[in-house]
Amino acid sequence: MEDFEGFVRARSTALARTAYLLTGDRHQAEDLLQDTLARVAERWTAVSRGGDPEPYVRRMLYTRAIDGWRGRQRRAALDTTEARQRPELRGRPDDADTVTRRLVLRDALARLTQRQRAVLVLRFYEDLTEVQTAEALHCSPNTVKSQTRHALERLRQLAPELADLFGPGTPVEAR
Amino acid sequence: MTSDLRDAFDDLSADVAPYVVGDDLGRTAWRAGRRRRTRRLAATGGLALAAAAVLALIAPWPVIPQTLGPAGTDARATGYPQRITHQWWLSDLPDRPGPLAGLVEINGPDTFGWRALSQHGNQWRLPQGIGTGDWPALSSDGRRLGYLAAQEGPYVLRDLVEGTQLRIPSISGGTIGLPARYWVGDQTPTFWSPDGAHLLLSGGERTADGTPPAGLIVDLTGSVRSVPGDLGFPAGWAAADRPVWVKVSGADGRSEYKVTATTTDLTGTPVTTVTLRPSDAWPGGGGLNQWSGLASPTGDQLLLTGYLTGDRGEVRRFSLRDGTELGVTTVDDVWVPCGSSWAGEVAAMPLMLRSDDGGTASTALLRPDGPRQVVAADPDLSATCLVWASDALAGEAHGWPFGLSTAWWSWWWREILAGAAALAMLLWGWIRLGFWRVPVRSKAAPPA
Repeated sequence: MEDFEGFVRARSTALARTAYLLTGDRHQAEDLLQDTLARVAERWTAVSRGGDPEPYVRRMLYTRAIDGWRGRQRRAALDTTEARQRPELRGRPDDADTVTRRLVLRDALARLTQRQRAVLVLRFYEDLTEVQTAEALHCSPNTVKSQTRHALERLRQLAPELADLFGPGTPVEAR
Repeated sequence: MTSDLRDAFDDLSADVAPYVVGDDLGRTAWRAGRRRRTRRLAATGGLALAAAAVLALIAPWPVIPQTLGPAGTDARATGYPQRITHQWWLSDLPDRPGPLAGLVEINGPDTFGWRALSQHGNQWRLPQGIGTGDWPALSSDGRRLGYLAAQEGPYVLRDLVEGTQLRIPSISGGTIGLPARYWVGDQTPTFWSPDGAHLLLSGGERTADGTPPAGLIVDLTGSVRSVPGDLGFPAGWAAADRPVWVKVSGADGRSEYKVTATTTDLTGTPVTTVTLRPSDAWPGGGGLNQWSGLASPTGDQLLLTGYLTGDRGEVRRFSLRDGTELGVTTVDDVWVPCGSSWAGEVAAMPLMLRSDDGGTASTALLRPDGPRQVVAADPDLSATCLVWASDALAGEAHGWPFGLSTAWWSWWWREILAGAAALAMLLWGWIRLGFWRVPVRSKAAPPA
């Protein structure tokens, strides 16, 4: 148990950030992280015996985010949260433009499908290759490629003001 | 682009972590994991128990001999299996299986021979050599069994409750040239006396004087007595020391067709002889043979089965006191003789039900309201004859859960259940273990 708690203390912040990006909502991210860690705790002896447990934990995080978990629908109504519940608006004395871009990206990501969002997070935040992303999401590399393309096209439509992030001509397939 | 998007993701999630990571997350998750693990173990245990229960339905009897403990002398069969079904694992009949309910003859393309039947339908192989041809003898209480171990002998008498066995090497099959003093006939019925002390067989002594044999009487000490004389076919016992014989004469039309029943003592000396008098004329040809006669357990009646054309049997009851007919019943699906029996006061006829593969054995009780089938055999078993202990057939029918149903799935329900359980377990395992298939490498490494 001490090992597990030590692991959670050391890695929970990084895992929480991924969970948030995968869900787009801090409540759902909290549920996802708790659910994932409970499942990991269930098999902790076997997981920790194999060495570094983080790949397994992250894999489960991705899978749970895609396959759904209990709280997803329950928390859906919380998307329209008040500003005090939106940590992306707090904590840093950013200028208005930075905050606006952050909100636009957040809202655009929220309008992608679970799988499209997961593909973007795994490819561009977790920095996984197409093959690794396909293995994590139980799909083929071609699916990852097409999902990435569709997700970026959708983001361009939803947030043309963020064209510098994912504008036309971006060679995403080249990675 | 990619570093720009990554920076944007980084920026978006930078301040979220403290809100997502709850207080004491590690301890909370650990407790939740413990609860999940407990539930998983409980579910796994339940599934394993269910699978074990299903397997137990399929294979408990072959591996657990239904032996009795030390039995009293009054041990007897009290029930019979309503369903004779296929059995994947067969073992030889153990020394002390307890009273048997019956015997079944199998004549399939791949397997053949006699099997013993427990009261709940478990089957054991009768340890006989190939081609002995004799008819095993089961006493009315199911406790005593007699059979020819091999064509060369010996004849074996077994007490299935006490586990004792008597081997009589002086009895062999009927093959000419065998050295044994006595021979027992192929394809002939056998009869234990009501007290189980004597066994009446069709056969004789290999003598040079040519005296026609009537039968053999074997007792529990192993002594064998050949009964000579023109008495006809053995037909059971009128009392513990009174064998009954049935003789048919005048079948060629030149003399009067006559059927007589003779009761003798153990030496073959006639005590009484009665001429059987049907209420109407004997059917043409009679249709009588060595399987036809059977004395009742009370010894005052004789059952006489005529095998008619059209797969029908005509079963007449006669009084052994004066030969008068007491009743007649016609039964369908009687085209393979294998010996009738009794269920208390009710006669039981062996049937051969037509099927795609030829036929499958069954048994009908001749109740006052008409014949009623009481046993169903799996067509795939190729059962051709059923021999019952009278006490078993008069007792409780064990046919759970499908009784006399002959639907195909009712013969294979255990395999269907086991297959469904196996599929469920495979599916469960696939779902549960799917996470472990492909390891994923992450760029994010824990801090040193």
